[in-house]
Amino acid sequence: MDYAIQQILNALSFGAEYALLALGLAIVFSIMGLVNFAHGEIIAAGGYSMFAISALLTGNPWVVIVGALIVAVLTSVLLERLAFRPVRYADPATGLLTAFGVSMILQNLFLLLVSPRPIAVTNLYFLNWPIEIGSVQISTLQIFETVSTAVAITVLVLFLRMSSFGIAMRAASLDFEMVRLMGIKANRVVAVAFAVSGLLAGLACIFIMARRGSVDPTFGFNPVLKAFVACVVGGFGSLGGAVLGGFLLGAIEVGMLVVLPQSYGGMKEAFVFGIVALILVWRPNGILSPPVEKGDKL
Amino acid sequence: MSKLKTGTVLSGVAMAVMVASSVAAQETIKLGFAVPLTGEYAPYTSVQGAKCMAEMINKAGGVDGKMFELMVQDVGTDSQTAISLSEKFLEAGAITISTIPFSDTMIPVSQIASEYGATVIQAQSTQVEMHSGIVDNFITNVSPDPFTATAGANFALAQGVKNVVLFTSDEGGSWSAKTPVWFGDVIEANGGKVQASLNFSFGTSDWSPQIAEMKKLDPKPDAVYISSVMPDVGVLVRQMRTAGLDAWVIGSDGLDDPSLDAIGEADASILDKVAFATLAPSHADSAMAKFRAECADLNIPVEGLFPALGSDIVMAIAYGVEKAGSVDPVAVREAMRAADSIPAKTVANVSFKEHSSYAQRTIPVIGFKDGKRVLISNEIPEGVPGDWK
Repeated sequence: MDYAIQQILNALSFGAEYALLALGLAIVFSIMGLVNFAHGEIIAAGGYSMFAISALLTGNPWVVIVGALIVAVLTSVLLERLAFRPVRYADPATGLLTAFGVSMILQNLFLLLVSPRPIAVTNLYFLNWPIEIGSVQISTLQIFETVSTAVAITVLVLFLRMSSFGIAMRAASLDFEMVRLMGIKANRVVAVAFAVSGLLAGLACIFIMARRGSVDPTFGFNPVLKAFVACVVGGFGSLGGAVLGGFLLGAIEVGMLVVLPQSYGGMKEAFVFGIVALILVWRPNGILSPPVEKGDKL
Repeated sequence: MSKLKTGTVLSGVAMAVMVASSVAAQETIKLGFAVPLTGEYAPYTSVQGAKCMAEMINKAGGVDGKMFELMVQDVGTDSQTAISLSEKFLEAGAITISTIPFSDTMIPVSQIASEYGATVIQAQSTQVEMHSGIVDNFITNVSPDPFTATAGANFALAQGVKNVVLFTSDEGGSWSAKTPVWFGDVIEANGGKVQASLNFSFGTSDWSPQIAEMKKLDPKPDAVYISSVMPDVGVLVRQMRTAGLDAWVIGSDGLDDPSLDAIGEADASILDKVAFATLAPSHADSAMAKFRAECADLNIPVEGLFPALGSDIVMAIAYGVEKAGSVDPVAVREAMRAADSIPAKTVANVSFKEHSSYAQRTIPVIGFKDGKRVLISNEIPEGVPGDWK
């Protein structure tokens, strides 16, 4: 029983991380219809900024955390301005290719300008210590990550429903041209969407760094692939779907690790994606696919 | 008559140019590096160490006056690019090619290189697939994975380890899938027991599910073995300690990275029961550390184990050229394979005489004391499983 509870908590923790990452992808997709595969490099930029701040300014972990959040937001906004704005009205495939291109360029810049090897940043280890709840042990990092994801979702929902920018973003997700005709500046709405996405990337970066303790050029690539799958499962463009997809993917991954006999261990990913495929057969546009006819994505 | 004279002079000049260029060609030892300078394989590239050693040898007058010339181009992670660039280097006179250190690239490159008589020489390739006789012009500067697995297992047995858990993954080929199995074979051949094999993926940043599996075991494991990369293994060590598992964490050359040392910055004791068998000693006063310092003085940064191993292949080729008395690629390869002992940089010496496709060399086991690397042993391991070929 303890073992089952332990693994359920592990699945929740996995899911929280995927949900946080998937939200960052979904918010940009909702507004622009862009799958931003460079989201992983925004996370990596946050990681490298932690290294730079620690090496050049201070090792104070709170300064490092705030610095990484700022760098992630700025990187995201900068990428929108330099790379994505020029192709905003192009074919969606152009945006996708641009995102891949930006991702590759940034990865190789990290590699050539910093190092191909992992760079240690251990300031955030303090976030991780064990807690015994009965006979079940849980790490504080798992709690922080799950709680932060819940808070991020709540704040995001409040922002989208209560603030004028949030309402503008929701309107833009319905009909971008109409929003522009109403006098709302498109550039500003899109820039805010990227800033929010960057903030979520920065948050994810903090938890990944606290666990891994180092950053390397491909640091964010694999997590974003998982986030992409979570978005597809949940329904691309739906923020609730991104969260649901993240938690579902976490549960499936941990479930497969637990259930599969070790002789089939190498097939874990195949089974995970097999289940994902079955879900998509059931709901081809994802579980919470947005009601496209009404245009109500958010 | 005038035309005849002019023609004779021109012919003479042409002959002189041809002879001069022929001499110049003979005086150059051309090495081709169709290697990953970008992409996920970039950390495993040996170019910087090779460049540094070539520079050192050239500054000292070359090999009997013959200078090294390194031809280097990036192939990323693409085998086809590696093949195309290798052909380009071979056409340009390369006597050796170094490339992506995985068999799906090394085999076709070796087949092409054999048409030129050239050798595919790798500084760091430990995978076993290249030693099954598919090609005969392949040489790697290190011993295959069963040797590092055995060195790790012998160390574990010396610590009294009985019960082990193996972490395996198919993602790194035999390096991550079979090396743990060879470790387990040696443990079981000496009376120990493999309690469980747990699967993992590269890039894992949360080992909680596997740790929950280990906590179920009775008795608790004395050691876990993993052949994976950093920072993943560093996360595993920290999460195991946090979960109260104090088993040894033993691994292969993938652990040989400064980011492993960094996890002990706050609490050095976290590294007390971590050890790995690797390809060359890398502790503070090792030959490799000194070589890296010398290269830094030459403004050639050599970051870590894999780049440093490039120095050994340049020394081996220099030895081959000297003994062969020429830059004929076949003669150079035969001279390298005939030697009882070839001086190396990262270890005392290597020999290709017994195995022809891989180097017989000592396997260091590195551990930690007070958070600092210490060399525990550095021997050719006994009891290597015999069925790996």
